[in-house]
Amino acid sequence: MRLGQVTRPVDRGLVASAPEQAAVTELMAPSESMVGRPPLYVPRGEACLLLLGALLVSPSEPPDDED
Amino acid sequence: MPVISGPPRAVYATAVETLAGSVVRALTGADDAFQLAGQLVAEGSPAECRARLAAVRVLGPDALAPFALAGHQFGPEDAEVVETGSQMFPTSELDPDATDDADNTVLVRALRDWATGEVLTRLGVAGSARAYPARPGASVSPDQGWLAWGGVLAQLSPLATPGLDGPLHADARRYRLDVARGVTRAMLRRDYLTAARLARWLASGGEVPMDPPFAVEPVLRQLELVAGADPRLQLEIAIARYGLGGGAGA
Amino acid sequence: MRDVRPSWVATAHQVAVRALGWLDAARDHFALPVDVASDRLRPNEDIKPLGELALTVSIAIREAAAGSREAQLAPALAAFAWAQFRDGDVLYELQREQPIETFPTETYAWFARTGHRHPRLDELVAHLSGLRAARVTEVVPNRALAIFNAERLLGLPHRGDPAALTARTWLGGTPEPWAIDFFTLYAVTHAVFHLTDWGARADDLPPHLQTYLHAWLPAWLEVYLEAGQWDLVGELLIVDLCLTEPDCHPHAWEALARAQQPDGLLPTGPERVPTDAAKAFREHYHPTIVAAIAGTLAVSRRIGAQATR
Repeated sequence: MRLGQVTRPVDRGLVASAPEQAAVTELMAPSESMVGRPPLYVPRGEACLLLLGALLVSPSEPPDDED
Repeated sequence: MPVISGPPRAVYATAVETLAGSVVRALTGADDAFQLAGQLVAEGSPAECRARLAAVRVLGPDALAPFALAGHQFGPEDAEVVETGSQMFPTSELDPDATDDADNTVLVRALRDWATGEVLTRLGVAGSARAYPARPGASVSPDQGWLAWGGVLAQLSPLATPGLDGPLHADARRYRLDVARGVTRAMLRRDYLTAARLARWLASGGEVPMDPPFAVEPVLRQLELVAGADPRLQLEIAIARYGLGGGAGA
Repeated sequence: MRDVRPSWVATAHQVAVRALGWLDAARDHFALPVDVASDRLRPNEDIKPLGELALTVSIAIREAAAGSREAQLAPALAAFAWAQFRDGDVLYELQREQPIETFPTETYAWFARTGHRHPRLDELVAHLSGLRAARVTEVVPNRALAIFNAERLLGLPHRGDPAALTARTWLGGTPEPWAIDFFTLYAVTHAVFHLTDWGARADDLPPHLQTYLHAWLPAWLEVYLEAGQWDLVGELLIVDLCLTEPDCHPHAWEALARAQQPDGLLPTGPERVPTDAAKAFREHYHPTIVAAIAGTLAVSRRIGAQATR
């Protein structure tokens, strides 16, 4: 098939404004999205429990007495 | 039909989602009929018509996927819609000497237009092929590093379609690990759209053994199950599945 | 003599010097509470920081690549930590009261590297490590490697096969690199630390795991650089330095250096550092330990790489 006789958009009353052109440009080259809720990042406050070496408290460890 | 009003960016994005949704239904066999000709029907205001043509323009070769990949009947009216969209939203000329970001956007658009031309040619539309856009010191290159290159590849996911081949495809095959790094990063950032776009590049040549191993299908399945209902994302996944050889409905 | 090191190595050196300086200035916070019996000490709050200080300086002494200030500081800090443990008596008492607990032995191993030995503790751990019970300690897989490394450092017979232990870790399974989370990344970093004894035995990391880490470490690093999770970024940089051929990641080093405070403290993450010194210590001593180890290894591994070329 061959296209030669396409009705020009302007003849259909179709003229895109500058903001419309810009919108198409943007949608055609999407940028990566920023992540609003990064679930893999550390929950605040737990970082200090991270262990560099070894010292995990075993389940049998008695609770700390504060007194 | 949703009321079409508001700023062009939002209106057009909605129109893109609507068209992407019908492409997905056509690719997955949920809809038996698909045509683009309806995007230009007389009913509806000129604003609605412009938005629908913008959607065709934005999806580019992906809007043709039901014809190219899923056997839907393609006709001259469909071709006319694509051509009208291209005339309404023309691409700027590529400046061979430019190196700035703005021109990178132009290069991205030119590459997508090249892909549209390739798919149209395949569908039998004579005279739609374009020369592969290139410029010296092209900024779409793995030399940029995996992070930046992955960003551009994601923008160019419509090129990652079964049957299309070019220098970018050769790079994506050769630097498969770089693409997989981009998928990994996007998955961990919960940027599922970018993850799907890059996974599509990995899928476009089928599942290829890698060292270290990196399977594409589990990424696609994970995205299907957790990434939500965004039709644009589902479209990326559906076409990626055709790349893997199973078809989106399989 | 002109400094011909790549600029990231100079940056890493500066990170290490500053971090060690902060650790030295924080001695009072590392000190064990006075008049508290060994069995009343809290493993995570009291013993862990001091043990990690011992680890840090044991690596600085082992690598012996730091500048003169660190060469002076490291042995002094090792002696300080050993004195805090009453020349090993505290660790001995802890191990005596909790025979199947492993952290006293693991902590002791870092002192053994700096030549601090406790004969009765040596006898005790040799005996305990030979028990049937020692072969079935209930710990997560990367910690089994920690015990393995401790026994190796103490010169004890190995109770486990490192290949089998490694295969049971997350890393050993070479999983999908996107199927990981913040805490599991720490499991990966520690599997590497223990298997390679903190970079001293890079070749003990099997080739397929080196390939795996070369492939995916850059992606993980990028995610947590963006998130400003400096503690994890620092650990990932240590992992890189535990590979036979590190990739170095200069941009990550520059970012880490920018995040470090002028006094040497490296914040854990993007949250504000408390003004209260004790609170700042509790929340941020760990990343500062990480910074000191990472910077130390960066300098020495770089020198080692040049020497063999």
